[in-house]
Amino acid sequence: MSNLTLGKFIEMSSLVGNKNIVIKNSDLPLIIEREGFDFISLNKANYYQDCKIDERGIDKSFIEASAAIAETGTVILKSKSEKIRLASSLAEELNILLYEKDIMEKLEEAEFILSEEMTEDTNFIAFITGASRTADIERVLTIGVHGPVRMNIYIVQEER
Amino acid sequence: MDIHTKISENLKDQILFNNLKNFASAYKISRENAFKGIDFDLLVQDLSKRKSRNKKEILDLFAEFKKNAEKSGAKVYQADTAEDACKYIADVCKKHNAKYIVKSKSMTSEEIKLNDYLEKEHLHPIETDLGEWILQIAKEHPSHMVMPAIHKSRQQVAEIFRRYTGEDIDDNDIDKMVKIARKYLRDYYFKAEVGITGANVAVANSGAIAFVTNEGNGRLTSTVPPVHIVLLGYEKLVKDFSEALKVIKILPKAATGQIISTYVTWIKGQNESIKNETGNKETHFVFLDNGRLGFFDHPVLKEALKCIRCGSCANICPAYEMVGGHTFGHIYIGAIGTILTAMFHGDEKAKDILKLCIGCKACSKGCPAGIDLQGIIAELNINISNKYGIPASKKFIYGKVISNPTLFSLSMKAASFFQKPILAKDKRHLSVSPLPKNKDFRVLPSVASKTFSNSYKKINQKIDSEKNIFFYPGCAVEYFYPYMGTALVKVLNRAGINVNIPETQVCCGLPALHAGDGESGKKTILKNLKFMGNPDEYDAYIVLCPSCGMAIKEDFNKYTADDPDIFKISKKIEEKVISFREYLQRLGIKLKIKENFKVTYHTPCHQGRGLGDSAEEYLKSLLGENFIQLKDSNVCCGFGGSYSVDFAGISSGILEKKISNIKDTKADILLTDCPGCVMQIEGGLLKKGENIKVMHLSTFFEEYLTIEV
Repeated sequence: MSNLTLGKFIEMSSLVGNKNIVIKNSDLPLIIEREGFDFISLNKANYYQDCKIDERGIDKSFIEASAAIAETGTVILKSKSEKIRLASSLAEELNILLYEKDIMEKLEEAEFILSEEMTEDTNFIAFITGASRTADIERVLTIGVHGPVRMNIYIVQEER
Repeated sequence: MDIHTKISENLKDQILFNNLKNFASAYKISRENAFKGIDFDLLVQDLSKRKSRNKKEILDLFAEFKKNAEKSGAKVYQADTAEDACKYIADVCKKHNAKYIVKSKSMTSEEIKLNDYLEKEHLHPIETDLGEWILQIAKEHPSHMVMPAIHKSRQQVAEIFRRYTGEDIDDNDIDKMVKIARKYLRDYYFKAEVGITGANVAVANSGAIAFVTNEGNGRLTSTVPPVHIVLLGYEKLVKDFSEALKVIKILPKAATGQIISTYVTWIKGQNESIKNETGNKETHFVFLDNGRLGFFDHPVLKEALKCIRCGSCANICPAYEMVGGHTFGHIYIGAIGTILTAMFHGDEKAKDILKLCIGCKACSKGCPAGIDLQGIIAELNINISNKYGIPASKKFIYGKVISNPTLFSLSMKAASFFQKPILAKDKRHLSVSPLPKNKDFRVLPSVASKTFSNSYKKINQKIDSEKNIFFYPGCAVEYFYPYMGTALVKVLNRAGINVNIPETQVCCGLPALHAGDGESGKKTILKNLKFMGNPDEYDAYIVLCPSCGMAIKEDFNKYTADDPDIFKISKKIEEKVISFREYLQRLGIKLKIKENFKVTYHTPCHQGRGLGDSAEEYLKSLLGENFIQLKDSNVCCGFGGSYSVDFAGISSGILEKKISNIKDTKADILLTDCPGCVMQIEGGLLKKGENIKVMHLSTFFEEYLTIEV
């Protein structure tokens, strides 16, 4: 993991309109307290918070990405749990927690994750690159057609 | 509605014109950015090789997919026909008492007209892709594979939504329109009992599928309802995740110029589903044959099954850009659409739209799956013409006149005589067009009073050099532009090279082939080879018309393949075919410009994509600051031979754009190296009274350049 890969990820992620915030692990509790997320699923940090999700959607979800791809600005969400799928699809604001060491350089590297995860009988993996968008009316880019209107990525930088 | 009526309706549609023109120019820029730093050709070769499978191989992949998918609890169904697929899907919906069914965009479902079928069964499919939903409400069909509603303006969409929702929507408030779709469609996801998606890849060694969307509607469609049906063609099967990722990588770049689609969703098995009483989703994979499986063994059409449905062949097609997908396609649109129509919906539906191809090869060059779309269309045109026949007048011209050099030459001589009363002052053009008014958009050249072959005889070549080349003039130079040929002879003589020409000039055969008349094309080619000399005696076979060059390179071999002796000669000639400019470059002949003026250059389709490269770089180094880059230099000028008469409206529309770009350069001279492009562009400029000189490179070299020794 190099600064270059992190830099590339932030560059590409910003290009699709994401807000990228580099944090330290110790910042997490404060962020969680400040932001008031409706739904939280952070495996490594062991933070969870459930809520009801129906057609009205929710305001903010905070979900850990298991990996990311620098050259495309993509985060990878293991979404086998239906709640993760709903919380990432139906939140107005999707917040992602990403550990710097989980950022890969190239799309091709995702092959290993897919091959490994899909040995299970059932699985659902989402590559997400920005908020929901459409250009179906006169090719005018419009954000938030079905899913999130905003996407923020909190990137936990390793202590150097 | 007959195709010509449809075309004239399209050409009057200003909204369609603007939307497609703006898209085409924005697309080129985004695409170039998306592929920056990537070796496109290498990527294409790799993908094309991997996707090259025969019927047995694809069925092996299917068996592997089925085994893995069934192990994961999913159901796999093989639908032989469109009807079969529709019925299976309707039955699943009925079994679950589904009133509403949400759908994420699937061209395969358009192919089988699934919505019509479901509605007849009193089921309610709801399209969730914004573009598709707009069209569903408006009771229309997609005009583009990736941007279905590209033919609609914001005002039209506002009106459709006002009528449907009764809400007050401002004509320009796209944001509000999108919010309305969000509101309405959100409810349907939760009301629906079944979600239907397509798939971009189906991974055989895993039993997983993936699909891409930007809106996120695919994720919701496959997540919220308790049942998920995936409808897909066998061609979506890939071996493993490595191959799958290659498709995912190249698809959005070629489709819209995006680096990656916003959502790539990978699904395997029956995932957790609160709304299903079992706690798990019921998943069905419906594999559609509809004729595909047989085509995997077809020598030519199997290539079309490599298509990844990016739509780039429409995005860069100059004719599509004029008429849109409701005319240039049936259900599948663009170049691949015409081919898939022939494959899945029959040649009766395909025969007219296949003719809309102007032959510029832009689609073949840009296809991420490496499909030679133009080549396949040409082939289909020939097969279909064999079946339906070609107009008697055309058959007569290609079969009896052009293939017979004596008769052709006499006819042209007669034309040169009878045109006398309508000759323009410069003698090189006609003052009145013999064509009807709706086809009269350019000043036509006159038939020269003396053919090139006759002028050639008068040139005293006086060259001691051993170096001999063979110049093939082609019909345009022979009958309309002999001065382009004599210019070539003079320049080469100055460089100390002897020029030889065919004893009798015969057409290259391309016009007949392009019109779908394979028989006359072959006859012409065989006759031609008799006069092409002994290839061992010549350093090169030079052409001034890249279309002739391309015909010699590609079609001569193809149509002589059944006669080994003739094929041998054809092959040797093919290897020596070269454009005039490339030949000068190869010899390292240094040219120097005599005068100071601004010059721009149009790359002929059959030069850039047929013979392989454009003169742009060469002219840049030769002319320095005096060379001005022409925007979309390599986009077709709209000529296409008889296309410009058969589809004059499309041809003149394409020419308009070319002329507008040429005017923007403010150049004094437009250079090009194809007599056909000269005919089209010069004719258009003269008709408009524009004072820009159009020259073939050969005459430009002869008039304005000196050879530096």
